Amino acid sequence: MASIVSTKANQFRYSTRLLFSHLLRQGRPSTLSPPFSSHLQPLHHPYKVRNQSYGNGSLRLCQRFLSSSSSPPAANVSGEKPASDSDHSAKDGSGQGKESGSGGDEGQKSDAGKSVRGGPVSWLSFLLLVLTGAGLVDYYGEFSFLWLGMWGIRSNTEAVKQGPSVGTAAIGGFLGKWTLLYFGFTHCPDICPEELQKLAAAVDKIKEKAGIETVPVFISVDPERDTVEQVGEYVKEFHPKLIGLTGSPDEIKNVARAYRVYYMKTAEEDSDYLVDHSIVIYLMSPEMKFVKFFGKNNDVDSLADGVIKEVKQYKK
Amino acid sequence: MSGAQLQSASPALTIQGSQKNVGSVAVATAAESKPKKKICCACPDTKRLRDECIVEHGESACTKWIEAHRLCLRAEGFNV
Repeated sequence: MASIVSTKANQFRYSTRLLFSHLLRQGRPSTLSPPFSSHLQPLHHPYKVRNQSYGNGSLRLCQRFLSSSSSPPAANVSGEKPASDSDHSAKDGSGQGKESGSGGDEGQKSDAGKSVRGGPVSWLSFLLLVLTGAGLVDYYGEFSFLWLGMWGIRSNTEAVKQGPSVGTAAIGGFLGKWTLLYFGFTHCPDICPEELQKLAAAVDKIKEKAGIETVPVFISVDPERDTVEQVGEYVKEFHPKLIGLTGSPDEIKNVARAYRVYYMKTAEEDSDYLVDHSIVIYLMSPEMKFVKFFGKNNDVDSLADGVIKEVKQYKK
Repeated sequence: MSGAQLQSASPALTIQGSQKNVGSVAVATAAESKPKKKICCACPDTKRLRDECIVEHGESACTKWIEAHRLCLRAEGFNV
């Protein structure tokens, strides 16, 4: 695996720390377990050394994992069809039929114990944290795991020996927590609100049907206009558990690339531009691994049933 | 130019309906000029192909679909 210079790694860690300082909840739902207060630390820890390729290797790791859980060959073939075939009605159900090959492959990892948050928070992330309220500290710790886990787990699976690490310890706080991610923007006139309503309804339906808790997360792809306050007000309208994230343009670019989300601003001259972006909902496992994506063609019931099915397969 | 697609809104939801046009049907047709507020609904077929390709293969492998969707959006009057 290619390594990158330490300055890039440090810059990346700083960037991810900033991202999570943008957490936007004023309060904390009582149904969530106590938060884990780990976050990226500047010191080199064995866990960190294995992740020296954050910038480049992480994308390859993500790509490799996504490939292993890709759709059956038929869907791959359809992806190669020319645009003239795009109106085939058979495609309507292509998103629903996809299976995750990695559903039951991973066992649960042991909880190596909680680690203490170390290292000073940068002045900027601290300022942003203060701006959004002290209550967010709970989520700051919890969702730094969301970012950490994405590479931590990947790295561990490639290590000859898995030693204690922040990533492993952080899993304890998220055991049993499934996450549904959606990327949109608050100025989105049509699809984003519909998709977020669908997501919110599915979260409730999943709990009602199967007793499974899922965490809905909205990440903005419009960093210029979606401020901390803007996103905070927006997510409140959909579900009390919906967590909103935003960040700087570079941070959003990194997140979108890592999660394979496409977005592009229209070329309007004023501030009334639109953002064309992928419309997908990702299901992430308690270890923050990609499990399945759901497209716009899924309704609330198919989304809820699909999630329940994946969760049950995963635990077997 | 892609054919017109009838895009039905999802069934009305009881949760936080204030942001949604309940029962509305968004018709993305070439006849509309500058349908700025409907970019998310425009060209659903090329959009779905692009989105699913990017999820499975990454953006760099999907330039064909990205360009196809962009051409469709331009035909519908979007400034992309």
